[in-house]
Amino acid sequence: MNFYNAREKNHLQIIEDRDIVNWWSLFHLLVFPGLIFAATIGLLLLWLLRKLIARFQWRVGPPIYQCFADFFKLLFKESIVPADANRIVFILASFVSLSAATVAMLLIPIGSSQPFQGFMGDIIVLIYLLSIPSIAIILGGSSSSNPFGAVGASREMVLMIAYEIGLILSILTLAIDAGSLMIGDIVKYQVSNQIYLIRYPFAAVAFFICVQAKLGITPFDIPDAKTELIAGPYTEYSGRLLALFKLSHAILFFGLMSMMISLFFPGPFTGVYIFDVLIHLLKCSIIVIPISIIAAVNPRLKINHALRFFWIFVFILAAVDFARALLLVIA
Amino acid sequence: MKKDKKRSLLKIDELSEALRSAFSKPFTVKYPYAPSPAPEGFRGKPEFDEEKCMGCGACSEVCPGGAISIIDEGDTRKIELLYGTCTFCGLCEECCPIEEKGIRLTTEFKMVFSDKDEARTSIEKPLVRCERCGEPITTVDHLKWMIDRLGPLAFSNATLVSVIYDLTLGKIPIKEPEAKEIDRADVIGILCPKCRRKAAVIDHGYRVKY
Amino acid sequence: MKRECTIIPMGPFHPALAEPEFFKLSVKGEKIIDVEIRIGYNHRGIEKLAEGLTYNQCIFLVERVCGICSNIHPLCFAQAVEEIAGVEVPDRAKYIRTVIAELERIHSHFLWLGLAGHIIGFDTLLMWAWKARELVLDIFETVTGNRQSYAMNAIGGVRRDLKKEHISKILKTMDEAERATKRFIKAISGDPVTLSRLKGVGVLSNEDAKKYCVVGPVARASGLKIDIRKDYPYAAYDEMDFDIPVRRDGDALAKTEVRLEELLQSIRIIRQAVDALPNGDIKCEVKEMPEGEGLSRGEAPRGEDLHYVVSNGSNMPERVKIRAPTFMNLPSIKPQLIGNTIADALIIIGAIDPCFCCTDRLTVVDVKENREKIMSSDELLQRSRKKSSADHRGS
Repeated sequence: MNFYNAREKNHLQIIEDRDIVNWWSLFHLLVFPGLIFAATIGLLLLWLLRKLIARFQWRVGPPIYQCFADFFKLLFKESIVPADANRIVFILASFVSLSAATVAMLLIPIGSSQPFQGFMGDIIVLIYLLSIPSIAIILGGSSSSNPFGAVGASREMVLMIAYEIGLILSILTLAIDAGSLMIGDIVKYQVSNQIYLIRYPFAAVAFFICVQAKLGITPFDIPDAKTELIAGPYTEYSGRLLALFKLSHAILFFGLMSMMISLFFPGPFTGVYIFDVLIHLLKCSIIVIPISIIAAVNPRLKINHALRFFWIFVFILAAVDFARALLLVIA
Repeated sequence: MKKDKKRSLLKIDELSEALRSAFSKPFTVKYPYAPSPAPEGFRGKPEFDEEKCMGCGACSEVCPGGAISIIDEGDTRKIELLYGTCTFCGLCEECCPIEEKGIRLTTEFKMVFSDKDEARTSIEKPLVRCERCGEPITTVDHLKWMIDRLGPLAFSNATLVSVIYDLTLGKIPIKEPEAKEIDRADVIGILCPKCRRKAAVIDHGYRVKY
Repeated sequence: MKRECTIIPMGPFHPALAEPEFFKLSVKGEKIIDVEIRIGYNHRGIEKLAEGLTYNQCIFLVERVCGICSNIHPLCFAQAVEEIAGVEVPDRAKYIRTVIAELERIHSHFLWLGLAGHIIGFDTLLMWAWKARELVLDIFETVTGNRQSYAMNAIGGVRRDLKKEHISKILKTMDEAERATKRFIKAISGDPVTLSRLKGVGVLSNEDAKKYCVVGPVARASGLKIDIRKDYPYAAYDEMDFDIPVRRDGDALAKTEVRLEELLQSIRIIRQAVDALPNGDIKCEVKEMPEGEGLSRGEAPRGEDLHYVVSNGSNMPERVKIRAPTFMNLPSIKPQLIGNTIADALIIIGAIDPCFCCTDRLTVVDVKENREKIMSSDELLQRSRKKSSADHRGS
């Protein structure tokens, strides 16, 4: 019920009929921008990433339906739970991961200045929700009773500790500048003033690098390094459970891209919602290009190098802009 | 630090290669959809030449993998090559006694079979057997080839003489083996080396007349 | 307070190892404290098989000892047999053997470079290196008739001649290979991330290198200047002008650098050999095989390859002994691995360019009586049948 108070405070549209609100939130959760839409776009963006990397390597690359084919193939396969694994945690981890990623989609604005379920302090909830998939992977990996899963989980944990600081610091920078903990306010502030990509470029770079680490794309694919740890935490996952992880990864991919757009270069908003969404998707695909270039020309980092890189280089980048934001606010 | 920066700047080299690749055609050959012919002299699928092969079996003697086998059944000799065992070394072609080569490695490399039993090729040749014991001697074509190569010398071998006799009459020199005691008449006949030796040394008692 | 260490099984089936081999790593956290190497998953009994084949057939058998160095094994075998027969190989054949051996080195080093890139997660390097390698394989396809298993050597010479159009194609490809190699040298020496993955990883000290008798690029990366091509020249290497790259660090980076420089040297040798290709026969006839024994060595891309043949005067060898280079290099993995992290384990194993099939040996040890046992082929067959039927029942 706090949600409603928050909405009133921010002079948002108040819908009196609770039943309608519930039906619409279910639609938002499952169809748009939640599960189905986010998963479709996420899988398409993952395809784009694979295709671009392939083109940088003189290869042809997969066809556009490849990621969907992979997903549906996994759906029709048997899931095997290892006999020694903690059965409940092992199975629940994949569901937790998927549901957290899906719920997070409700808090990220797509093609507008307002998320579908915005409230005071939603950005903090968002940070929590976005870290739940990583935690689910850690749980799943360590409950699988596989040495590779255990090592992968411990790597995931270290990596999480490494990138979360930069991620939170760069988001806080923007929150301080906009003077609000609501993601909608941050977007609105940028629309009326200047986009944060220009004002806080260092924070943008730090956020960009942290997003790559969060998604486990090549220089940071340390936890599931296939030549070292087979599949890391995913080693024992198969069939539907693995498909759920793949799906939550795809949703997370789209979610983080959307978040980057909302936080650093939102707009321009045409007023027609469909066009706004299309512009948003175009921007998502543009972000995939630098990610794919970085993934193509870099080898995988070692976990200790990654930790040093994030705690020194990324932290300094984020801290510089954080200090600037603080100074601007005080002054 | 400065040195590091300079070195990291060199990543431009990799970037330029990556971009060059992105804006040029993929290096991959879309093989099943586009042809990818093997060069001349490629050692591909070996195939028998129905016309030239004479069925001597020299290829099966030299084959290092044992892919070529001789199966003598009734009046035919079947030389069979298993593609699954073949190593495509080309020794069979090299050792084929015929100049135009009765077995040749083609440039064909597609070897997709839906059944394991399809992965083989074979050639069948009429087989000459010993008139007495029924042991396989060799194929008709091989005998012809020997007669050709030997010329007049072929008449020094009684088996070859009988073969020439049959051939000039337009008959195929294949006779149903008849298991009976070797006697004097068998000296002129198609015999395996073992029986020929017996026929040659047998004492029929005629000698006392001289 | 003794912490129990985790056992990480690397192999027998591992996505980065193309061949079955077992490395039992005992780790604390990410650090490796002990290694156990087990070989023998892919033993094929080639030496025994060779005793039942004629010399001409053996060439094709020993060619299949290794899929990558499928020229050096028949070359060494042919040389050993030629030594017994006492025949002198024609000059042209010697030069062609040199060209093919060096082309093989180029393709093998490119392959290794790609694999090393794959192991450290640099898949783009894998694709680029294998793209360069593809051109060399195209030469093989045209000249010898196959991309792998060239079947180029014969007792007393080579089986196919180098034609004029082949030579121009080889020279053209060498230019491209040189360009690619130089680009790789730049890419590896200029990239801080790649350097951080390779530098100081899996150091094999000079003393250890001597102690473990390592061969080939592994030895040269640890400061041992050994190369059969220079020390005991075979084929036409005594007439070639080339350098042996040597590094002193002994880490994965040194091994990479040695191989990259060897690529340039190989290109140099091929250009010389093709230019100075003498006219004449490509094969001499071996009239008879006397009794005797022959020993021949060759520098495979991975190091020294040794073939020992005993003849009893018949057309089949009495005994063939093959020592592939990885057999010497594999034990040296242990001192290289201990003290490094799991993340580095595979690049260390990969850096010696292992070829496990070439290496596999089988020894049956009776633990109770502490002695080795020789098994007959029947016993082995029975064992295999027993095992496969047990597996069958299990599934």
